[in-house]
Amino acid sequence: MGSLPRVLALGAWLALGAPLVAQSPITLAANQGATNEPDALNRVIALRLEDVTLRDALRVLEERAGIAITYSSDALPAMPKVSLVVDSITVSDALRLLLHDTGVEPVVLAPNRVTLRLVEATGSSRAGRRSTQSGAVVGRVTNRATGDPIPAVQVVIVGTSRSGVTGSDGRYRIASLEAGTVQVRALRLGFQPQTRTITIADGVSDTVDLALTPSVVTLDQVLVNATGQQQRQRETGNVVSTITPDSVIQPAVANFSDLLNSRAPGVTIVQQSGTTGGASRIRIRGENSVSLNNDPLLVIDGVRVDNNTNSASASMYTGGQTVSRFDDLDPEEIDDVQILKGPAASALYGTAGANGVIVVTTKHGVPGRTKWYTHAEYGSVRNMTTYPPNYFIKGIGLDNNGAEIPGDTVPGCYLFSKDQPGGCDPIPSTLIAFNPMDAVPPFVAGYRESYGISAAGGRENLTYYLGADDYNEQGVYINNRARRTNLRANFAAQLSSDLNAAVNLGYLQSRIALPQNDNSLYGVIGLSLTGSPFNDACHGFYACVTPRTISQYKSESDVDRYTGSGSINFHPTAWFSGVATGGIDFGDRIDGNFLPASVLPGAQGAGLGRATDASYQLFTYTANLSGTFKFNLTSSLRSTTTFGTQFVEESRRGFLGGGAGIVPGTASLGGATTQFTATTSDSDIVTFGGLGSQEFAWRDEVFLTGALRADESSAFGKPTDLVWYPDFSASWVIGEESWFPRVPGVSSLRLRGAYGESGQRPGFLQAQTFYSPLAESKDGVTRGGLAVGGYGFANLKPEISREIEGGLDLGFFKDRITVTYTQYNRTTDDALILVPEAPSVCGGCGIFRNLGTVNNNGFELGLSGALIDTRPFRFDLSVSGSENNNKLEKLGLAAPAYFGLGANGSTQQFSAGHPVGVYYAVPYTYKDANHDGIIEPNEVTAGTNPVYLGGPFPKGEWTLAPNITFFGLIRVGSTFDRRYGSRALNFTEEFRCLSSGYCNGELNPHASLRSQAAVVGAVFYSTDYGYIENNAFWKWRELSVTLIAPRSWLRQLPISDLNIQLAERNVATWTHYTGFDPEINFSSTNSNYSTADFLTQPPVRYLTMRINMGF
Amino acid sequence: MTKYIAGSLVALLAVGACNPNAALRPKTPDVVTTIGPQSLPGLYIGALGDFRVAWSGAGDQSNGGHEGHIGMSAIFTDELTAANLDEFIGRRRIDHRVAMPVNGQLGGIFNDLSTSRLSSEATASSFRTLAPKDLGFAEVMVLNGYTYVLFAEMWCPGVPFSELKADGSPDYGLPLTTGAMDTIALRKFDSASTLAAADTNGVEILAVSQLGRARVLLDLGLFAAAGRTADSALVMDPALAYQLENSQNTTRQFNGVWHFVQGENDFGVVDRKGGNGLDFISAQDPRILWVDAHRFGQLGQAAGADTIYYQLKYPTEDASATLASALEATLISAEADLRAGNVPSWASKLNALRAASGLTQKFYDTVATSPAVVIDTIIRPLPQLTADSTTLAPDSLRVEVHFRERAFWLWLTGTRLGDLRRLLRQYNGGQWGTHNDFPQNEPGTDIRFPVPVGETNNPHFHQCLDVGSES
Repeated sequence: MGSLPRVLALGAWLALGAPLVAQSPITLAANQGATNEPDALNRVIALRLEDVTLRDALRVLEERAGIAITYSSDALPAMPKVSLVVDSITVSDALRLLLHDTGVEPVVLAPNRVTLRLVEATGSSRAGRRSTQSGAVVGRVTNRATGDPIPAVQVVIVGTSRSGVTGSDGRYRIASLEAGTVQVRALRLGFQPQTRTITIADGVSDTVDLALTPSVVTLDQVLVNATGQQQRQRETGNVVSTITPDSVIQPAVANFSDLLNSRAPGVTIVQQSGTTGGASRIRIRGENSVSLNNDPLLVIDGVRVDNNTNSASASMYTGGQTVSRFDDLDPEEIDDVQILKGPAASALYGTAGANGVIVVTTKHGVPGRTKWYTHAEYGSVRNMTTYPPNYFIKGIGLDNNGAEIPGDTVPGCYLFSKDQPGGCDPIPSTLIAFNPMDAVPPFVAGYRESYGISAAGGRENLTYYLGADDYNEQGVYINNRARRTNLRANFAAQLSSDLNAAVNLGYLQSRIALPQNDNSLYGVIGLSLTGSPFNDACHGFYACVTPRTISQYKSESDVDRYTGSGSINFHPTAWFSGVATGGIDFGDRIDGNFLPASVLPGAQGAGLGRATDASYQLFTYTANLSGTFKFNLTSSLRSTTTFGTQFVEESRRGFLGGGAGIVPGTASLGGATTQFTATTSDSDIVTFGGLGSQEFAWRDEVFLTGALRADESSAFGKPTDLVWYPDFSASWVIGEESWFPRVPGVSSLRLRGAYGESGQRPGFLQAQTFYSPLAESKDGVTRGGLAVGGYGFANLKPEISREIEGGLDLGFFKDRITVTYTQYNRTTDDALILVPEAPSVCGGCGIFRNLGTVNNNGFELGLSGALIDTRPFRFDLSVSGSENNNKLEKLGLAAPAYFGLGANGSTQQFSAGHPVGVYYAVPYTYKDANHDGIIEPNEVTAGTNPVYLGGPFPKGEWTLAPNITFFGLIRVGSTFDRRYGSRALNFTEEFRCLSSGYCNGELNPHASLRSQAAVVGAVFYSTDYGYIENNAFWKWRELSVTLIAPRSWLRQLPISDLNIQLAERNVATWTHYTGFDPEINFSSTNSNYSTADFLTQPPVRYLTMRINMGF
Repeated sequence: MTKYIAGSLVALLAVGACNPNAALRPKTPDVVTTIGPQSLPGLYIGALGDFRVAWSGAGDQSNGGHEGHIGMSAIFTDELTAANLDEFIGRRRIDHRVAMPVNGQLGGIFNDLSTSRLSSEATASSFRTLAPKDLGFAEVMVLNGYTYVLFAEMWCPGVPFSELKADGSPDYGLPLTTGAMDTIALRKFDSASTLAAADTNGVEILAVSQLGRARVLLDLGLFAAAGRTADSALVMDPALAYQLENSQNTTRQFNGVWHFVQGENDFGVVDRKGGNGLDFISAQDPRILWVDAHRFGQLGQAAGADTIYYQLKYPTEDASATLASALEATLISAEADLRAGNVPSWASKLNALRAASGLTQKFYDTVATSPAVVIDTIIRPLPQLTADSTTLAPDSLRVEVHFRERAFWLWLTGTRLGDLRRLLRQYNGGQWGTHNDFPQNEPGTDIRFPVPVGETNNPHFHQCLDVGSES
């Protein structure tokens, strides 16, 4: 419900005929400080009053205007609330607006003193006024950037209490206006206000359409905090990024990860492969934890939900890529996404919020006529990578002196053998290059299609949103598909004047099939790149396994997921409100893996065929209860106190069965003859939290907040000690201070700072040593045995992340251009390190210990605005970027911990003083001294000790998003990404060279000296140095064109909105990285710090068309 | 209104005041966290399994590979070779005799052996407390002793043996010389012997512990004592054949050698590897059973496929593997005779083994053919060693003959690496083959597995000790 209508409704609470103010006047304290300004009532002020009592509103007005307002305590009711958000208004107009329809009017006793009095016992004067009002204003409010209608916009007639609120179609109507010149102003959070001056004539309805420009500086944007209470952005000392899916070109994004990608500074989405349905890595302000998950927490409509980005990793057997539960979310049904970037913002989330929190609010209805929206989308999905051929070359044999042996032809002559005693000299004319993928193209013409429909509407006391969407994507492999069907039903009800409730229900059906690739012997890329250079009967594919053959290998994950939440907001008094939120996220997941018999070579092993079936039920229960007490300590100082509790239980029940020797023609485990597997995986983690916060607000301009959360958790295998997480924040909207100098062009300024702590816990049972059951044969009988399933350190505690941030929000030219800058410093102490214990201690186990310290510091900068805004042409530009310095300050181990791929051992390590997961290797230099175009072993000079080469994740990332709009009908948008300051391991090429021996740098005389040297380095000097590459890049991530049907065309049709969008994703990449793509990573299961390309499918190109219609 | 406020406060207090400890107790239906008498049978079986995995390997690749000490030492010492189809670079490097501490596959088997050592020690400790007279106590002590034998025979001197304290913090061990490892093994076997001797059903375990003891004494160069101990084992159990059992039930229970040869086509039998390796194929010796895999149509037939010779010592995934046998005891006894100069006895014992073996020689084509053809088999008894190679041979030839006999009799049992090291250490020579199939390989003296890099997390560890520390 809009705010101004509540102003108009005030009269209902007035006790008509109450004694006049003269009988018992109250002079408010602010009166003592009143100025002597003779014309105080004509002073122009700014007001931001939202949902406050009329008495509070008058107190603020006294303060701002420097006047004293007196009135009878019986004259004004306590309960009614008013809202008034205006940038400039005279004091007298503000008074009239606030008092409209109350039956009370101001009487000026002195230039700075006003009293209120009842006007008429019968209200006849109001009736009289109505008789002179005859005009009306109607119109439609749209988003200037997208052309879409904006619901819930307050449209006010400046200087009066007349107002209207737009419905779901963006339309409004304000009737009963007096003839004359008025100003029509549209206000909505997230948009710059717009004002239009018109002249109203008697008996005429004037049309005023308004187009609002989105604004980044949204000081009054409403946030939902961890307690479920609402809070305005201006009240918090930390920056919160908001993404509104409606402002994103929908066909350019396939899933929730795409929606987040490149939209908010400090939020990094790494597209790990081009596998349809595959997971992306989500990081906010770098990597907090060495060994724990670095994924942010995910909250939907107030309840915690499964945020596993490696879901199904253990039971799909894909070789690397997995499914992310983040991508279960349907962008179509999201209203907005708010991103809390770290402990400074997320302390109240306790032992869970250290990596930041992504708070999703789904769509809700708006009172008014039912508004239908539908869309249809179709597009192509194409492999855009050119894969290299396999090489072969013959040579002339060399004797022990390096001299050629006439007639001695050596098949398969490595380049590095040239001129080597006992080696061979390659014969360039014998070079063969053959690509198995040319003979048997493995890729299919992928496609994506999406259809959806939604209806939203309702009445003042009950609104609804109903939506259904179906997304279907066929990847570039025949056995790579993702289908997602989402249903949503959201209801909100105003049960009474002080009680409202909401119910949000979501259902997902996901059917995903992933191909083999990455670290799998049976991936198409591996079968081709490690195959042979001969178009033989196997067309060069490794082990004669062709793409058609391996496409019979099925890895599938089916999920049915139900997410339901309910909330009750209770406002029994002006000073107390309570919120209760509860919900459940239930996922029923079935992973299947099936390899038919006799598909792969060998009558044993994989040739027998294999099947596994895994069933998981994942429950996440959330219950929050909080109460907030608000008091005005003085006329300028407001106190808000909140207490709350939270309960979260994450429960998992899992069963996996498997076997080999599958009966041909079936996929059933029933006929399995060997290699039986039957395991269960059950766990329960419970977290109890209590929290309290205290906010002091000075004149709605200065806000100081302190908060504290305490947690107990069962995560470690036993109840932990109570852990405390404090939080402090300060926000000063200094630009609204009366003394703040008017700087030309600067329209708003806020300074902010925040400090907070949050934690993260390890997984189930990780503080305990336990035994797991297994089977073993003895005396010819299979018996049950026990083996250590995991070791744990008894005195484990959560790791604590402490973050301090500060920054400013600047608006220029009435916030048409906005700048947000934030500097942060976050340190994780007692960092939980999965200590790779010396094998002699526990057989190479990992034991969690609180040993390390990790620091992330950097800055975030966002700039957004309409640089050119004329009626025929508009140019919007958004630039956002961040730099993050990640450093493992303390490891706490006797030696670095090694991990990752590498032909000569692990190429990454945890090492104090460097970024977490830093790459290192023995360096070398090379020079073609004899100028023969071949790098021989003696032309490479290797160092003696490994050196640090760089961290695995970008230090900096910048996004440039220009948008051009012509005549409001054609819009062209694009997104460019720049990332730099990181390294990646091109293990695809290294593995290929050292495994199959048919690679470019090993056999092709035309190969670059660099790639030849990499082979020599790996073979002769046992270093992976040549394959650890700088993976900085520029990516043209998105390109879109939107055609908006002119309204004049639609008048003849039963359609209110129509637009067509064309979008291309993954348009182009510029990089010096020599692998397939600088972003990809071979394994989601090793995704914490691995950035290795290992036979991974690179990103594919999407070209999509979409039609959106509104009715 | 007051009632609303009061109600809200009561609700808040109720939630805050409830005792969360009940909910904070996690449910752990899948695991055991407390050890009691009822756990002993499971721990005993688990200890057997852990040793089996470490020694002969398993098929559970999802847990790191588990090639086992038999398999990895086999490709290191040219009993087997890594096939061109083997995509694991770490194994190919071992096959090329490039053994580095960072080798992931080496790390895997070191972890498995450490796990087995700790598992058998923990199980033994539970037996000591809960059932000190149980024969299972003796058996896990034997296996515990064998873990030290494998550490000493295959890994360089400098292996530390650490413990985990009750609270989960490490108690790092000091690096031990090979001799120190052998000494611990002796102590373990002695304890096992004492326990087994006290049980009327403990004859086999007693014999195994004696044979283990004899093997350690042999490693220590105490030949006479080794011979006497081996003889005592033979007396206790003339048909001794202590086996670790495999099963096709689960992949973890697979015979690891079978799995990595027949199951995965990663390893194959090799002949004269590097030119001077042993002639495991061309000798056509009935102790070395193999078959050209192409005959079974196991592999792709075109370019890119490989020729693999399957071993038939473990013909199925559930074939058991013999850890200690009367055969080995006889070989130890014979070597003691050889070292004592009692050549006739030495030769007699070797020939007795041949005569009693019942093995017949089988011939297979060594050329890959396709399609598969009928295997030709010519049967004849394993011939006796001639006087020219025994009684009339020079000492150096006798040594060569003896170690060849051991290599063939004990093929794929994880003894060849220890023998090659003994040849260098005790006989000042060896049959350490050279390689010519990969350019950077240099035949040398690095005939031991280096302790994996992970052990550097032990602050006391300083990589391999000098060669002189081997005894």
